Amino acid sequence: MGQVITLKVNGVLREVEVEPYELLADVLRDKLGYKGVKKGCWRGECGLCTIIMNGEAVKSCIILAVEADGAEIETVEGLARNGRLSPVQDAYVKNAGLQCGFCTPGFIMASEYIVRRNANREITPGEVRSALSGTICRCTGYKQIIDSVLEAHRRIKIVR
Amino acid sequence: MSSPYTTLPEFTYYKPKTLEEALELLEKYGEEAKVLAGGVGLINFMLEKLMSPKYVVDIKGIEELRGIGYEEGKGLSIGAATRISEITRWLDGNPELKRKYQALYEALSRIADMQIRNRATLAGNVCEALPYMDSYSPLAVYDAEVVIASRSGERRALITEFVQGPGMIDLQPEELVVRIDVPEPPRRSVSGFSKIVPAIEYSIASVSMLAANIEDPATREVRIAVSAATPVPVRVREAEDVFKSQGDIVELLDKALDKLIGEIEYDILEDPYASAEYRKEMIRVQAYQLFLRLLREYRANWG
Repeated sequence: MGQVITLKVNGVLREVEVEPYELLADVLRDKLGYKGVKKGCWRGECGLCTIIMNGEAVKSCIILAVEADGAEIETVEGLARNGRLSPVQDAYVKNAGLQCGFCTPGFIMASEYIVRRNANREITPGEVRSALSGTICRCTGYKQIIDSVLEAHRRIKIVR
Repeated sequence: MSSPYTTLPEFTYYKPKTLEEALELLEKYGEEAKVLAGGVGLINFMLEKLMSPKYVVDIKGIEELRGIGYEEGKGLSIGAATRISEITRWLDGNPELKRKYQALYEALSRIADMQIRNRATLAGNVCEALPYMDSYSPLAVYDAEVVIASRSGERRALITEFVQGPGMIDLQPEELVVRIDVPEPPRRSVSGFSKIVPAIEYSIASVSMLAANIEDPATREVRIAVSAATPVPVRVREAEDVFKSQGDIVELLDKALDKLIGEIEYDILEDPYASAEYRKEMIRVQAYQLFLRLLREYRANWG
């Protein structure tokens, strides 16, 4: 028995019919086409399906699509504006904060959230490491990833 | 996308707006219904086919189950649908209470990871009943109570009695955990949390302690709770009682530590991740370091 839910994804209202057992990550990927939402572990561990939902970074593979009815969702597809990368995306490019790239959308969304939440304060490499502990890169390029987050954070702070 | 670990079994989803409605559903469907709060536990259990409820009752739409309250002298009251990160942010905004509930704050700040803390609830953590749940030892140290509602009324259970064994809690199918009450800690107290997490993501031994009026043996109170190394959270009264004696506090600590690992009334867990012997040693080491830290903090705050 399907149910129509409404999501605001990257500022655009989307209506979609879902079954209660469908996971949000699957609906975003397969029904709405946001392929930046990756599924690595299917159980809330690897963080590659990280999205920002109602302002909070969450793992969309362990959320039912019906739970998200009425939610505002941000995915990696929504970050660039008018062809310009967001400060976080740009910092990842400059610091080579990626290798194969599969985990990158998850890392970018987690990093975006970390940078926003700490926009008014200093942040240490240790805090970034612990905030990223639920997002996993199997190419092991963590140093560059952490450098990317710190650089994006510095840039955002300078703008303020 | 048809691999068994990537799809959920079919079920009917309910999102009641009132507690009364939720309790009616639980009474009607009994064992066939499961409660969904953050979903971190339930959805994983369902993916692994450990649970296949026909009905899922989402409690996040029930306003009275959300949020945190505090009453001087009575303590904290945390609604069952309140997310872990909401609790730590709320304590960040109330430094006085953060200090009072330091062990709880330290444990909650380190549960799982950032994204999970933004979704998971304290009540869900308590109900998951796996030995390594991080909230157990701090809740035990404050004598926290789980408040349970059903159509026939409300009852309360101490955390150490609510958790009965791995995967087992004192909760009937028609009952719902509505909040966790964390009583006011003693005056002039300090508290803290410690856990050992090896390369696996689960804690193998966790210790929480609270110490009040350390300088005065007549009114001194030390509380010690252990979890993760034991099947259920445990308060180790025999070790706590050592601190009621006269004498040098560090010598009392040594005596208490001997009691601590000698007198735990439950088995120490033994599995491929850690032997019972290693877990015991980790309880001792953490309790030692934690107590010395609390001693320093006590002297800085109250000394």
